[in-house]
Amino acid sequence: MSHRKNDGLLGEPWRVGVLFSRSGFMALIEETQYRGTMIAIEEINARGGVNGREIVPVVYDPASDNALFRSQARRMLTEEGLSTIFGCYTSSSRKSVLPVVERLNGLLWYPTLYEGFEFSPNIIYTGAAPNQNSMALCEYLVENYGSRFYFVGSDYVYPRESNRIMRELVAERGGQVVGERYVPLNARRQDFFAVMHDIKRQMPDVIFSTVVGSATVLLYQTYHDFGLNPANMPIASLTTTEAEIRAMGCDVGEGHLTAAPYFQSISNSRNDNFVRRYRARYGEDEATNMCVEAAYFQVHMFARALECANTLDTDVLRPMVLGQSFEAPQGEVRIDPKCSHTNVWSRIGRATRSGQFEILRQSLSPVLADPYLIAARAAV
Amino acid sequence: MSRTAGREADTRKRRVDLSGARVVVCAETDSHFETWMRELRRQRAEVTLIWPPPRRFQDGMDLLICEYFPKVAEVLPWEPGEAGAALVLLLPQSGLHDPAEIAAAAPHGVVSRPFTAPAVVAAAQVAWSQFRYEQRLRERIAQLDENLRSIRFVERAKLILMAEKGMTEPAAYRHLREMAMQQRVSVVEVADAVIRRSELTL
Repeated sequence: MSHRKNDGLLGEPWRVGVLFSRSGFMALIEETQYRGTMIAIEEINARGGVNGREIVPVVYDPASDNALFRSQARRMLTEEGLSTIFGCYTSSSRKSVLPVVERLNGLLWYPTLYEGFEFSPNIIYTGAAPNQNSMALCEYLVENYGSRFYFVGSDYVYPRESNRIMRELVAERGGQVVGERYVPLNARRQDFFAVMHDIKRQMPDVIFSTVVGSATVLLYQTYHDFGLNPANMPIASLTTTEAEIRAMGCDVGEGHLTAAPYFQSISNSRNDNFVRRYRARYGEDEATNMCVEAAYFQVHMFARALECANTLDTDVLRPMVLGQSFEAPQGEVRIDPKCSHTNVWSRIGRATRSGQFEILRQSLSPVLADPYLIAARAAV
Repeated sequence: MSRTAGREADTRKRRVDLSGARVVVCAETDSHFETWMRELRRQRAEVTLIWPPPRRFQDGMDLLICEYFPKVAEVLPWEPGEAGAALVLLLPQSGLHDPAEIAAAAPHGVVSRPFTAPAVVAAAQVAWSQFRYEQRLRERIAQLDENLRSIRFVERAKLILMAEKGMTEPAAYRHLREMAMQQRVSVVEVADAVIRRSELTL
């Protein structure tokens, strides 16, 4: 940042932690969350910072290693003297950081969808919970493709828990899970061969994928190489974004489905401006995605809360965060004061040849976060 | 002392004593050192002395009584929030210590030099008690989380049994419990089996 932008800023800067993997097998998506965070910080600083003070990011690279997530979070909260951290993509990395932020009373802003069934007073959850993406996706798939599901996921906590929920949703709609396979988190191409052979034997109506990271690209490419057709057996995912579609090749991703609060193709002026600024900052070819957007709007929500609190002390800042609303690129979002999760929009998109998502269905308003599926129990 | 009063005294003793606790002491020796070490051993603690401080302590202790020094948190074999043992820091007589360094180590107790033997023993007892209480709370939260996840499966399995076998809700739950007891598995595992069997017969 140039000195010119800092002109007029008074006092010590607000130092915040940024903890996304910029190397390793999760870098593909976490790099985009890093970018979303940085562009928001730059925007806020360009407008004069918060209460006349600049936000300064302290950036670490945990390199897709949960042990590094844990130790770097500790370093941020102790040696660096920080209290607010923006970070984590995988649930396993969040669960590694959670005891540290709880014990040292930090505040982790987590901009990723996850499997729900968690509440920590030291985490602000800004991605979708299962009632905000899985339920709508399951309903759409059963209505439009059929009720025989095949699950394939990376072998860690998020896919297993997410599949447990999806299994229940499928059963509620009279459907059936005809196969369930897991591959290593840093899977290789050949790990998907046996999965695809099994899929060809079972011929499900839908493949529900919870594969994450670089392995996502390999799953879709292997599917493509096996000559399967997304028109009658799509891969449906909660995690495959514009970033992964671009990495796998737009022709490979075309026709597959994703449920998310945000797609770049959303048509409103806030999103148009967001996409324009993102491209101007990172390149005309670069696409936004749900992870960029959540990473972006959560920094703006943090800045608004900080403006009121005028301190990074978690005990003062957190009450200012809870209940706050923000006009995000996806539409208006709100942090539910009861559960620290965000009321986000529910959308189903189908990937197009251009690498974007055509929005097939969307909620009429933000969906209330229900991380423990308490309201959803009535439907069981 | 009456028998009841005696039992109460025994209970109080059990709550605070260090009997059998594996205590590691990492402290400089001074003229009082032997006195408070003897006092710890009188509490039936298994005391091991380590000095100078290692680059990193090993797991396998219940209580660590450690001299304060800069970056003391880095020699602990755990991260804050996941402590594997109770921690008491001994603060220097000089008064030169960094509160941020102490916070980073997240101790369960601190004692400032100079201290008496009863003071260090009391701090050790309080830390040990606090640590075990924390552990119980952590276990309770983990169990509650698991219960919240699994309650949905039990509810669903009950509905399946009610539909398939015409059972009432209490009867369906009794059936799940009895199956679990017979098979010596949890109710959740039985519920999961009922759901999966039901899916296969669709």
